[in-house]
Amino acid sequence: MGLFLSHLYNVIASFGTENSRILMLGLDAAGKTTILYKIKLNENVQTIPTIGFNVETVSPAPGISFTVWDVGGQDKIRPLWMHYFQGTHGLLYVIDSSDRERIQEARDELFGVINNENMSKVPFVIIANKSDLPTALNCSELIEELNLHSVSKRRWYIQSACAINGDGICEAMQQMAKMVKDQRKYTST
Amino acid sequence: MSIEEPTKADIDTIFKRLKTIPANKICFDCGAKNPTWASVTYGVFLCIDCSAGHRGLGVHLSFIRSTNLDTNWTWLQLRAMQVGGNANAEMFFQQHGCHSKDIQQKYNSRASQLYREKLHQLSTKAMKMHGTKLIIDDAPKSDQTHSSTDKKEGDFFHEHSQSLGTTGNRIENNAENYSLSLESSDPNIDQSDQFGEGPSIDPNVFSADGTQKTLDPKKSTIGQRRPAPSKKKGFGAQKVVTDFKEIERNVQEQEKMKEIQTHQEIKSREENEKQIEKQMASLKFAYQDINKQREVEEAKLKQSNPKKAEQLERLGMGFSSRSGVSHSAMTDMQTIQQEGVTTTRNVSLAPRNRDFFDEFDVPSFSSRSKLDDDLFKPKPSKNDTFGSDWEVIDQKVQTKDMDLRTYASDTISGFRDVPRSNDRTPTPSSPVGNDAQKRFTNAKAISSDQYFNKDNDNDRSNIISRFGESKSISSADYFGDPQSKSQQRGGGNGNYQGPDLATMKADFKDGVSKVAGRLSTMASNVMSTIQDRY
Repeated sequence: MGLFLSHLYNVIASFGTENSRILMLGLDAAGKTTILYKIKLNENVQTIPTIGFNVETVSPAPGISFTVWDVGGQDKIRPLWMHYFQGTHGLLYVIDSSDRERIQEARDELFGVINNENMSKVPFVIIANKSDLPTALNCSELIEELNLHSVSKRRWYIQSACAINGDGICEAMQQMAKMVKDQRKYTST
Repeated sequence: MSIEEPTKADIDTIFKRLKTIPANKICFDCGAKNPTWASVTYGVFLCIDCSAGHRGLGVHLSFIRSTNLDTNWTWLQLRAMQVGGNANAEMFFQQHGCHSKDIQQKYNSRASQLYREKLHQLSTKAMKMHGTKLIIDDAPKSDQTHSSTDKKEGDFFHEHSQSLGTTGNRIENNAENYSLSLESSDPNIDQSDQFGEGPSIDPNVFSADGTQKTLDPKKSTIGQRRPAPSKKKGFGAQKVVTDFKEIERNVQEQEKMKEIQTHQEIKSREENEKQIEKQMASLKFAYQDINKQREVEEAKLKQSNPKKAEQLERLGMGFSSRSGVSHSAMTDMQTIQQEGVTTTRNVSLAPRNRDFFDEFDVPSFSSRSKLDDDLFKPKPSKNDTFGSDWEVIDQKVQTKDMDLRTYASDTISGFRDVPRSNDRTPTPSSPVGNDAQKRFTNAKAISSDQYFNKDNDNDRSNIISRFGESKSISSADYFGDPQSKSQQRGGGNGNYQGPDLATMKADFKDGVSKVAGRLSTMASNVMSTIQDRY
């Protein structure tokens, strides 16, 4: 009886949640695939470089359902990112915060994405991955490096995280859910 | 330095060329064929599966690029691939006793660190020398391996001299060596060509039309011996002349390489002996210390408790009856004591020196017993020499050491960890220059709302200070009060309806849950009636 009730409740409660399409981008070896499978399976998988894309439907928290598209970040396949822009509700941009030499490159790619017309109204969450490594930049340094203070017209969120031990991943996804929901409210009305 | 980046065609041609080298045709780690990925840090070619492991190491240990999917290689990276290569790396790792197959162990070892630094030096040097010239090694392939051994030899000694702490200016020497080997590759060809010309006349000689000529070519063959059989083989052929040249050259090269190798072996043996000697000396020294202590203690014991001393002697646990190097119950006791002394002394010493020492100890002397290890340590003079010698690379080693601590903790005993972790604590917070950064230091996440909180960019530092402890910062928090800010923004965009929508939605949700509750009661009623009926 109780099972029936809870099931019924879940069915009704799930009316409120919609499946959002989330695009996950970032330079190669930033940890996109690792994060995706950390959310999906809660495991650390040994990932090989993504040639093409991975797509998974994940539910990082109760009531949140994302279809996450994880597209390879190799230099040559970055021009393909734009084909995934249309219909995206949120952008997860993953950065290897320990890779100081390629922060500029990451910034250029990020601005290339968010300035695209298809992405102009999409909120973005930056995941500063690999924060456990000794050379990792923290959030404030990343804001400077990524020139985020120039982005005052958009909603963004930066979260330091570590995909290996799962720190910050859940927070980032919850924030993503919140921002996507807010954005939907704005656009639908 | 020229800044312009290599074009796609440049990259392609360079890799096409590099992949003609046999060693580069297989994955450096697993031996899979046709690797298309590369670790720039070590200048090696890898398969996609092994590249995964390398990517997991982090860019400070290994930076992975694809040879065909990445088009933004820099010249420096290409140079690293050119002066590196699987063969060189393999040789270096072999020479430094790093045979581990485990990726974590292999690339956290001292050998890998040394190779990393060496390759960086070489590639920057090559960069300076050649600029953006496409191909830096004009020598044919067979010669290339030759020159690489040449180079290796120099590096090998350089390495040992470094670890023994005897010579200065090794980097320059090394770089010089490299450039020499590069340039010498051409003269080598010339030489071998000259040599090759001698035998090329041989067929004529044996056809016995010129007796005077016999002297000269024979002279050239005296030193060689080997070409003789090959000569007979091609004797009847008409167009042997060119073949001979090549064969001759090859043989000569082989001989040269052999010579070099034997030379190298002898030298390395000498070096090893020296090192062993040194180790032994230090061991002896350590044992002497122990002996002295033991004697002192023996005397003490005899004074204070003569009976016990007697018993010890009777039981074979006495001090004086043994040679310095035996392991009886008492020696073990002694070494344990010594260990205690070591820790305290090490703590008082500059922590870096100790780190270096551990660092050095772990990969290269891992085969030694723990006792040796511990005995080896307490000698302060050794510590000092190593410390002073390795001061140059200390920062890297420290970070490295940290990694080692986690991955190779079996070789590092627990007591060493305690002081080290204390040493490490101040480092992460040190290199923060900017004001804004200083205040945001501990923030784990920052959002735009947080970031642009009250005022605009001018007073950013103030805002930032509020997030000193937070792990995450949102844009609303950053830029100002979330509610008002979003209202402002909404007004600007003209698509925001105001807060009542949220309340409406909340009400709606409440309604939904109420309906759900009613439905559930209804359902339960139905169920109960059904149950009642049947």
